[in-house]
Amino acid sequence: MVPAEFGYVAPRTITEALALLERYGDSARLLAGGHSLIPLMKLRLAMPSMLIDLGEITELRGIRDDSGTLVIGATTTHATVAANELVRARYPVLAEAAGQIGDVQVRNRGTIGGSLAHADPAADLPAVMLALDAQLNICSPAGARLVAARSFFEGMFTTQLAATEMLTEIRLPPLPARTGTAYQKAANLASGYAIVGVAVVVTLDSDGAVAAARIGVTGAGAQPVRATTAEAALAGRVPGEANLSMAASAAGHDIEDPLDDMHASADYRRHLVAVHTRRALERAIAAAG
Amino acid sequence: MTLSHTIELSVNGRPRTADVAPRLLLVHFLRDTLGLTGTHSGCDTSQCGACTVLVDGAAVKSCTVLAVQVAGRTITTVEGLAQGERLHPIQQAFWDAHGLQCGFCTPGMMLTAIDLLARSPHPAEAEVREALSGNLCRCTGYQHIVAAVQRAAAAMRPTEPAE
Amino acid sequence: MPLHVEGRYSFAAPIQRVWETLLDPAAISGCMPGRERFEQIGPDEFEVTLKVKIGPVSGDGTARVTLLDQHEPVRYRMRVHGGGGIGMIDGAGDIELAGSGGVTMVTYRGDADVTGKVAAVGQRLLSASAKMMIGQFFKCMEGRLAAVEPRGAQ
Ligand SMILES: Cc1cc2nc3c(=O)[nH]c(=O)nc-3n(C[C@H](O)[C@H](O)[C@H](O)COP(=O)(O)OP(=O)(O)OC[C@H]3O[C@@H](n4cnc5c(N)ncnc54)[C@H](O)[C@@H]3O)c2cc1C
Ligand code: FES
Ligand code: FES
Repeated sequence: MVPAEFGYVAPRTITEALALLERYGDSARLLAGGHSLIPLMKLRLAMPSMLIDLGEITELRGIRDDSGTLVIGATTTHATVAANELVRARYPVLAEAAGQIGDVQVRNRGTIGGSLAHADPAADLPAVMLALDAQLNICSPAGARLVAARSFFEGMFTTQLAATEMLTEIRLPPLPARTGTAYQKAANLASGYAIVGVAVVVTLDSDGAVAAARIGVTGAGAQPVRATTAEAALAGRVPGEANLSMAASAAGHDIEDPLDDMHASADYRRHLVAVHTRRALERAIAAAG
Repeated sequence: MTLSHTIELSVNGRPRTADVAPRLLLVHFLRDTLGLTGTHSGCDTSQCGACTVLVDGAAVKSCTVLAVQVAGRTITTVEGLAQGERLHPIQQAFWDAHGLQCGFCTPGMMLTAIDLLARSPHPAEAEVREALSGNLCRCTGYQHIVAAVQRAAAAMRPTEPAE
Repeated sequence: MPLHVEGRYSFAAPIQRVWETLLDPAAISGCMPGRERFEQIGPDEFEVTLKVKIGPVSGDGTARVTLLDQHEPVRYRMRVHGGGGIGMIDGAGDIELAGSGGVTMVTYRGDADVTGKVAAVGQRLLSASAKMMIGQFFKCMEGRLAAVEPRGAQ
């Protein structure tokens, strides 16, 4: 299988890339790791006439600290994110999820920005971004705007990104003391994609009660969501059997319209969300200490 | 639109320059343009790992990379492993531990293993299995392949005192 | 491969108005996601060309849509047959309306056979895309109903 013909440019700066994106409009696509786009192009399900490769733009790559906020460049690979010391120390849930994407080769090419922009309903990182309350920096020739992960995802393969916009950075706010995190997924055995993935961030107060809990769920529906009823069931309470199991089953029901396909029925997906929410919560609470 | 791009890159230590169409996949560039047919094309859908090569030391599936994307990079294929008649330790280990039968998956297995051993010289068995999860073998079975990688790991640590 | 869709959508309008809107060719044409061309070829038969774009994936195709077994205002059947470069579809669905007060619940259930490229490689996303497009269609219908509401309501 070979993609249809297309033109190719590899700009060196964000400004140049944005100008090209504006010039070529709707028929152009940005190319990051290519591990979602190239397979679609080989199948000719996607046939852009121009690819703007982000691979030569050094300012889009890398991980840095910005007075407590961790800033991850859009074209940083999953492998780099998973191995990064700052990520592992401060946001273990992100390292854990990035390290479970596909396989070694996929993680060596696929990028965090590409995964979020692509918004595959079975992708891992969207759930993590919701749980970490990430801010996404989006640039266009007109300027930059920050969008909360929570309002970024609009549906299957659909985000807030307009045709002339680029995701440049992912900004992770610092987590308070006594915070634990965990990612749990039921992976499709062939591809590794999440049939259901649950990312949890829990902060305990000095009495051991839940001060804040954020639960991001991917794979279950057409777009990633926060399990808000489950979060509310935990808030202010000391975690115990009763409220953990209540939160887990609430998470299952927080999925309004579960996907129903050959991999898992809607009911089974709800069940998986509950089971994995429970496991993730237990691990996150243990880690919060 | 079909304008070809001139790319310069290093393949197995040799500088190469070629005019390529943007849609040319790296696997086809290696096999058809350069005649390096040791890189195999299996599934053609990023699943099997037979097409794995190293780009700047990192294992990638060359059926899912465009040749234009690796301009300026350093590529290693299976042809670049042996030093003349002397096999690379990973090749020797696959030989010694019976890590192959038909050999179709073998180049990809070996290059993925080299990526692993560069990151983690003492991999536990589970780590080897995880690292090879993007490479499928249809005939040898994974037992011998994992053993071969562990054998290579031991052979590739010459600087450490022997026990 | 088989594609099954089912779901419900509630409209804040009386059943007769929902029925008329759902079967109004102008409304159907206006609400089909990605409609490029819409032609009435018989009393209850249309030929529709759609260009669908979901993220980086795009495809177009032409289908014949027939409305059958109409039991005004509670039930009808819709047949869809056609396709394009990325695949073919052949299916039918039942649409039922139930009114209570000023609210109408529309329930749909359909089965189709999808073949071609999209069936071979896109199964993971097929039912979700179908659901999404049906959702867009109903949402647009709802907008149309609301747009004419003030006249009736005041
Ligand atoms: C075999 C295989 C297994 C996989 N398994 C998993 C898995 O288990 N879990 C998982 O989450 N993912 C999985 N993936 C997907 C992988 O993580 C992809 O790399 C990722 O989804 C897309 O990232 P990319 O950098 O490759 O993006 P690309 O394919 O280059 O781009 C994807 C889309 O995003 C757009 N885009 C890219 N970057 C930007 C940007 N900065 N701003 C705006 N738009 C942009 C592109 O235009 C394109 O439309 C798998 C992929 C393969 C091939
Ligand atoms: S041929 Fe590239 S992964 Fe199978
Ligand atoms: S040795 Fe034959 S496929 Fe692995």
